[in-house]
Amino acid sequence: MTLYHLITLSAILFVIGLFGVITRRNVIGILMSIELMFNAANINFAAFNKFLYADSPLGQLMVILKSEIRNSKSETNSNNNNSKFKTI
Amino acid sequence: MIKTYVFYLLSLITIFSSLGVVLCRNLFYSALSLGVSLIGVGGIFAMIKADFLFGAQILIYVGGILVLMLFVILLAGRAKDLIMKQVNEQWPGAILVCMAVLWSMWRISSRFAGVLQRTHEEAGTTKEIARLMLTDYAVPFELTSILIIAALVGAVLFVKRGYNK
Repeated sequence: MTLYHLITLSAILFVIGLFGVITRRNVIGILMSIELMFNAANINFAAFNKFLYADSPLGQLMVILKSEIRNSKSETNSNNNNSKFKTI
Repeated sequence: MIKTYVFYLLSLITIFSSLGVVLCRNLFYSALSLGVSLIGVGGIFAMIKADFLFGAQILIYVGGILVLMLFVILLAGRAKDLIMKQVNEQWPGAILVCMAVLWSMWRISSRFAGVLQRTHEEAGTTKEIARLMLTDYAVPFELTSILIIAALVGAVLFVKRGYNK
């Protein structure tokens, strides 16, 4: 397991999420695909932090801050879709 | 050696369950396979010794966001969403776009093909994360809490506007 494997895995996950964002019909489905893309970015952050800058866990801190932003986003979106569950 | 096998197993689980998220007809099943995918990513975090991220991934995403999405699907969904074909007519173009993006990402990431681990530090990083969060990066940490409050107020406002119409 090297950095190359991890980056390749996250690229594949990102592309799967992108396909979902383009082609899903539901708002909730698009939201889940965006979650997949965020996960790919998280793997990249943690992998670069581990393999290139292992002396301070700044990348992991960025993952945590980003996950809080993600939480607030998904709360807003879910409550927003609660009233009108759209179909595109 | 066994680490390599575990890594490939986790990658396969993550990739196939992500395909399930995108391609399943039933929205409920795709939410469940999103949970499997999140757990797989958590396992990869554990493999690269990001133990705090592993815990946060399981607690927040599998326990929080996934349950939130299941609530939304089960409470506000319609019966049509559970059997309707979920992929719209744009899928050939989407496959082309995704192949282009994957190829360009692969071109970028092949620069890192020979990079090995430069520094060896095997201790847990939770203490160091907490130190950074409370000293150097205290301001962004507090700003995210303001953002979460703003998101809560915004969600209430959206729902209220929907009821008033």
